[in-house]
Formats: sequence, structure tokens, C-alpha cells
Amino acid sequence: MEYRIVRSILFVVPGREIDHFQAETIIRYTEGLLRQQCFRLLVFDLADTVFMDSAGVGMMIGLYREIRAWGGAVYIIRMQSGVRRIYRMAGLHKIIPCYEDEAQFLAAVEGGGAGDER
Amino acid sequence: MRDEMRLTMNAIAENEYFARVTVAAFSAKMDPTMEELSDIKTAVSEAVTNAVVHGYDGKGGSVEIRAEIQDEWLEVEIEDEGIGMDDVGQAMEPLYTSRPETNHAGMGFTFMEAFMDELEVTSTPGQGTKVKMRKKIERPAVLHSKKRSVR
Repeated sequence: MEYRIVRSILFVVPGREIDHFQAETIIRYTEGLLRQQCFRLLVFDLADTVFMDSAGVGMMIGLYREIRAWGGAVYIIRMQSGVRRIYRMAGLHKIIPCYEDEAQFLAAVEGGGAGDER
Repeated sequence: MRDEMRLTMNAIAENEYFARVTVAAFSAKMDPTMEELSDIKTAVSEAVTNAVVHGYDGKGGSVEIRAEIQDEWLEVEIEDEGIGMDDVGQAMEPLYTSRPETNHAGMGFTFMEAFMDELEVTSTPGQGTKVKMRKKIERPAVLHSKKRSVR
């Protein structure tokens, strides 16, 4: 798991597999960062993530609820096909939009797209 | 083809990875596609996580996994001796979770059902839960039209 902060946006890079064990760790650290600094944009960078089960879904919904408390939003970039299946099946696309890469995400958010205004 | 494996391990979160990778590796001799392998890993992960989180409430115990290959069928049983469930039907409803205050999606059984062909859950309160799942792995077509995994 890694974090990077770019222009007040919190990027979370969860690693290869998001299961219950990994999800607990990611939730703990991310919640801490969110509460400290009240990020309005949280982005999961799933470039290296090849596995996610329902615990990963729960993690994303949980952090979505957290950040919604102060009007923030959650996004996914660089999602792989294995994870995409779970994303669709769980209906996550209704609350967490997905972008091809960071450039496309930044263009959409900074262009007044799906980002801050909601 | 017939083969069988058994694995008994501690019901701790760290072992969820070990369990799903082991069953996936065992099933590799059936020549599953990447997607089928991913289905098996997800279903096993869900069942083992249930044992760790709900069966033993994170306090630990032991989980027994049995996998069997019978020609083109893979059968996986995941059994714990935890607290069990009063109402299996309710637990299996999509989005139901016994712990709405935590980060649980309530989709574990839904994913097991979606990714395997058959799912049978038996539980006795105070004695434990057994999840039995079966999946048919189609034999490769003569021309190997589907993309196959190497492992």
C-alpha cells in the first residue's frame, strides 16, 4: 500500500490484492489521513491491483461514506479487468466513477466534470 | 481425473491469501482459464473471510479446507467450528450484513453464488458452518479457442 498527495488530492495505491486482511489496513490508514486533512478527493489507483473481493467493495463504500460527510468524492483510475468485474457486479460504478488514467481524471475534475461540484 | 487436497489452518486474516492461492494452484491441473481461476480465488476468499470474521469473530480458531477434482468438477468445502448462524437464508441475502456499522458490503455469499456453479451452506449455531461449492471447469476445446493460463 502506498499514498501520494498531488494538488490536495489523496491517491491510494492499494497493492496487488485487496482482501479483508489488506482492506483493514488500508481503511485504518486512509481514515486517519482523511480525518486529519479533510481531503475532498480520494482516488484509488488500481494499476497494480489484480484481485479484489467483497472486502474491497466494503472498503470503498466505507471510505465513500466517510468522505461524503464533508462533501468529498471517491474515484478509481487505471482499473484492471479482474477488478472491473467485481466493480460492475457490486454496483460501485454508481457511486465511484472510474477513469482510464490520472490525466483523464484530472481533466474531468478540473474541467468542472464529475468532481467538486457534486 | 480425480484428486483431493486437505488443508487445516488458523482462522486468521493473513491466511485468507494463502487459502485462495492454494486452492487456485490445486485447481490449475484442470486447466482453467484466467477468469475461472479468478472466480475460484474470489469464492474461496469470501468463504474463508466469513470463517475468520463471523465464525470466530476475529478471535481465531481453525478452518478446514477440502478440495476435490472429479473429472471436470471442482468441489471446495470450507468448514469452521465457530459460532454458526441461526438463519442461513437471511445471511445469504444480497447486501445483508450482521454488522452494518462496519465496512462490510454484505456481498460474500452473493459472490460465491455468482462465481461458482453450486453453493450449499449448512450451519449449526454454536457448532460451526460448512460451505460447499462446486464449479465446472470446461475441458479445453480441441482447438484451444479460449485463452488458457500457464500455471
